[in-house]
Amino acid sequence: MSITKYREKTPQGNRKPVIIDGARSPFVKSFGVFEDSDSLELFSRVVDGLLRKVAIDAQQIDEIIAGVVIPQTKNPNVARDTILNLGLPLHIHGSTLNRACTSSLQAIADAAKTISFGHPSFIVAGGIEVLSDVPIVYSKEARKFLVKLSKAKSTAAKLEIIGKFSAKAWLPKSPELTEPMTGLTMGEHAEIMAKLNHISRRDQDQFAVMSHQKASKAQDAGFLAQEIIPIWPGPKFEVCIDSDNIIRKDTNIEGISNLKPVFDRKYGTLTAANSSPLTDGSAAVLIGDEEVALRLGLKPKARILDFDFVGVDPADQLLIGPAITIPRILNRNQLTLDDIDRFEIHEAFAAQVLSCLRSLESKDFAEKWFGQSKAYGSVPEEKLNVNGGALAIGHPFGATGARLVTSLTYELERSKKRLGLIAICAAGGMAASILIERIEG
Amino acid sequence: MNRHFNLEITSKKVAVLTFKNITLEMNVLSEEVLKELDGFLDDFKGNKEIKGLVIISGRPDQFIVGASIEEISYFTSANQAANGATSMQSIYNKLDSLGIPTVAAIHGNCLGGGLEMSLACKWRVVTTEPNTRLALPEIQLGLIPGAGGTQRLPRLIGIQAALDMILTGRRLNGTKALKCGLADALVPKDLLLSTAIEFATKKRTSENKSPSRGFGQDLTRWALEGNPIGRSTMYSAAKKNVDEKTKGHYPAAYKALAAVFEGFDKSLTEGLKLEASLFGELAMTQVSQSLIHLFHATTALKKNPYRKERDAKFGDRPVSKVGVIGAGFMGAGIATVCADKNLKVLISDPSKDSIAKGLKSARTFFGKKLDQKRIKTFEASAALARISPGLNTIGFENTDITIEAAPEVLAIKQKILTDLEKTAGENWIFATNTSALPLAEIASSAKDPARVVGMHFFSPVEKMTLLEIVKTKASAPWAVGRAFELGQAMGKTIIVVNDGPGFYTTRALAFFLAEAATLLLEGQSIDKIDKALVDFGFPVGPLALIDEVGLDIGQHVLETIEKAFPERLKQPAGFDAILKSGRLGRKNGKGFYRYDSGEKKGTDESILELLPIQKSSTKLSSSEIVDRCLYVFMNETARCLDEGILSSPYDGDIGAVFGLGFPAFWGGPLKSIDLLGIEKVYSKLQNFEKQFGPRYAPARSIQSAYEKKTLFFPSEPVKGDLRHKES
Repeated sequence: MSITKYREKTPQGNRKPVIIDGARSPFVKSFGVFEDSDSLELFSRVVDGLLRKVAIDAQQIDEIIAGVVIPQTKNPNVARDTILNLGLPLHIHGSTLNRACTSSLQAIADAAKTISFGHPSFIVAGGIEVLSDVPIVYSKEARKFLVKLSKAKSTAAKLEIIGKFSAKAWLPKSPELTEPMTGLTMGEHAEIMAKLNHISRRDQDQFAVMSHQKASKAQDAGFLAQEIIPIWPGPKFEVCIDSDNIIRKDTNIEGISNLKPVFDRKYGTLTAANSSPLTDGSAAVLIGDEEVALRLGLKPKARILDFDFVGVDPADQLLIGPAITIPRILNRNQLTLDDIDRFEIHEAFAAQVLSCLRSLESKDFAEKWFGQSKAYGSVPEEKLNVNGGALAIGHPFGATGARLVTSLTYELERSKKRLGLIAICAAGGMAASILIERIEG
Repeated sequence: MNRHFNLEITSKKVAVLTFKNITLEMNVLSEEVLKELDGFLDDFKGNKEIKGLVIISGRPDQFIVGASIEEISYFTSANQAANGATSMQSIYNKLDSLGIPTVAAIHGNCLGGGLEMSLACKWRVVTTEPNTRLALPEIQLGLIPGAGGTQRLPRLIGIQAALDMILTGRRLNGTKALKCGLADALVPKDLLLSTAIEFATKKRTSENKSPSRGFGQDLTRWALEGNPIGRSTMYSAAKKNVDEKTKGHYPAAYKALAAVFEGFDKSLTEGLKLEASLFGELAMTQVSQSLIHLFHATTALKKNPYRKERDAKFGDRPVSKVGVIGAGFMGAGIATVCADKNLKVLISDPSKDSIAKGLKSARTFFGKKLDQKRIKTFEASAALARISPGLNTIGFENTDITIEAAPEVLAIKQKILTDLEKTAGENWIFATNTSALPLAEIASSAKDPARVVGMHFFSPVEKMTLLEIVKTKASAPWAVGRAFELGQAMGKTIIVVNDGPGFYTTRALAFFLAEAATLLLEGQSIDKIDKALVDFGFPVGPLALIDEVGLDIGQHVLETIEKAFPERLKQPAGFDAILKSGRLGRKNGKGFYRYDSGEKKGTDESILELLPIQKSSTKLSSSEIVDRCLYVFMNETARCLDEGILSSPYDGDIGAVFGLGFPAFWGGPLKSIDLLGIEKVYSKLQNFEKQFGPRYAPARSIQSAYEKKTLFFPSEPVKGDLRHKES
């Protein structure tokens, strides 16, 4: 491993954070082809693929940030471990963060902040989720038992502790995805939103079908392949995974309208088809200072103009945040919905996206949250999630933000449009948005 | 006059003797050095003030690397060599009987005579650094330790552990040295001197014996080594092992057994006497001369011939990123070795399956290392992560060198080169891994042929140490120097040759294999031919080797060489018929041998029906078969030297021994000429030429050596009673 010569003087840039490029693994069903893989391997492959794609000397990179929602105990700071695992220059530091489904958007925003502070560094910001491999924990009682036992010095003390052993305490707890402060699962919250906003089952199914159709069109056109790094998952290295495996071309309204609701079996409208599936995947974006990037001969694809994070009352509408953050970020930048060429509103559930869209169109909502007498406006369908969304492509929590940024960047490049806006809802009653602008190249 | 040693006396009257060989770059024990040490020992003996002695090295990374190999080669008789050993022994005996605590403070390599000096000390303190290595590597030179190693080591750490070191030359690190009782203390480098000084005030008594000394705590060892019956059982087991490993070709292993086992039953004085005389005998053997020759050759070839040009271009920037095109057997092997040596490696292949197979084979390689506990889990993971797989060559423009290991088709190789060249930076180098395609033709398609070289690896790359670097007239010296640097980083032994049909190795091999095939057509049996050459010392017989390489590839190679040298090499008749019959060798289970699920199962006589075999031929003896193949090998190697394909005789020998399995105890095809004697070689070649054709017409360099009575390696005079005279 080469010894990094720490730069005494860092180059000056223009403090404008830009997206150099992005990449991701294929997004696949959990408990499938990435089952034997882990987050270190998957993130390593994506970071490696990204750096291979961008002709950048790794010595120029200063930091790697990873968003992970359900971290694996083996690599709690998977970002730093990835640096070491890949044998990247050791001066590169790494952190791993959790802001639920907006984690990798947070990572990208953090990178942008660093650039705008005048650090002329290059930062890999991304995320990862391997829901196939989540830590299974023992009960508090069992954990206490183990710790005490390991601390006991004498055999007598050990025997005394063992005497208090309770077999029941040893049943492992399966991981739950409930909101710790409401006790409800994400799906149950989305059910609440569907009912509150009168989102019909048919509308939800229709939206889900569209998502699959758009995604499969993008897949066929090779758009998605542009983002994807093929992965040969270890330890077997038997197959090459080079495309998403959740997208279904043949999804149709008849096919999915018979499905049973999963969160509210009696009166519910949310099904496996109009909810995003458990997904394994990883994505990463390379962020840098515009001027420094150009000086190094790199070709940045987009500028990061702004970002916004917001919290809402989780007990009310847990996933309504996009309807709050979109007006906020546009107002801050003196823009309206009409100025935006492409929208990416994260599809956790069809009901949640539709709730957000209806709320933006609702006078009451504008009145309630912004004190405005007029509804904020409509997001035109032809500008929304044009290459499909998480319902079809999948949703590895930590990786979704970085996938959306990558995907939107490529979409702006392809369509030669200028402004793109991403909004993502998150557990805990949160949301985030990011505004990017294509750099003409 | 004190030159190589510096003496300081501490306040507690411990003498610290610091050794630094000032005439050589390494801490070698020359006669001069030993004499100086002897003088110091005499002084200490008479000096009642001195309470203890520490011997330490004045070089930062090296204790003592052993006795001078140069001086060993000066001995012209067994007697002289034995006397040399005896006089070194007597100096170490003096050290052993000094009467004060003596300490070897060991950091860095402690080899051969250096370890034997340490064994004559009362204590050994070693450092934890990974480059601290203790070994008796004499066996690798066809010798045994001659300064007490075969006597003091078994008495210190037991016969079994000592035999293992003496028979294999295995290098022990500090931890292992401490564990087996060779070292008494293991300390970080910075505490070496102070710890050693402390030990120099302690008398070795029965209380502070190292735990592995004596048989008290080790019952198994006692059962085996503590009594004559156990020892004789051990001897038979060890001898059987040596028989298997050396196939009887390496006398030093047997002498080592004799020295250790017989010496163990004798007094130290008697044991040392035995050791010296066995050492003397070995020093005169052909095997030892050959192995010392190979040692000189490898040492000479460690020098990057284009270091200056490389440095001017790249300074202190080492090769760190390598591209490999093609994830087949070769490509995967190259990538695996790169990853193993901490290089980042990009591998590209349009076939997903091919990449999967390549990654799998890398995983198997590191998995094995993991199982053997040579690496840790995270190291295996990181090694695999260093291999970046892809279906295209994105990112290859940023590699230092791209090694192309695509199928052996000129047009494919040219296309890969011209495509990559479009985006690559100006210091980028393209190395093609080909065994027979003309490099100049590949290079001719390049915009800049200066940065095109050949890197001919041998399969399996993970095991075979040879790398043949090929340069064309257009290759830039800096590019060759860079490729050499990469080869060294990959741990390869490298020969740099000029472009020509089959370069050196493939060409010599082609003549060798063609001769074996010719013998077959003359009516000799498959079995007989292969067995003769295996008995001679080749790892596999030539016909079995054709099966391994693949009959298709073998034929392609012979075709290439035939085209280049039609007057000397004819493709054996009937080979197309064999190929047409669908025999490809081991890969499809059909060749000169039969294969059952990958296992070789005896010769396949039905192949003979496809060949126009002469019916009425006389059966040749094994040695006649060997001579036919050996002489064409030697002669063609000499021709490569004449034509400048080889730039030195060393290159030919190293290429043949490390790349083609030429028996190491014959030193290589050119050393063989020296060993056999030029008169004999010359006259036999002339005879063969008359009988079999111009391939045996003595090469110019052989002609000239014959006329001038010179050697191919004049600095290595041939001596002693050589094996060929017996036959």
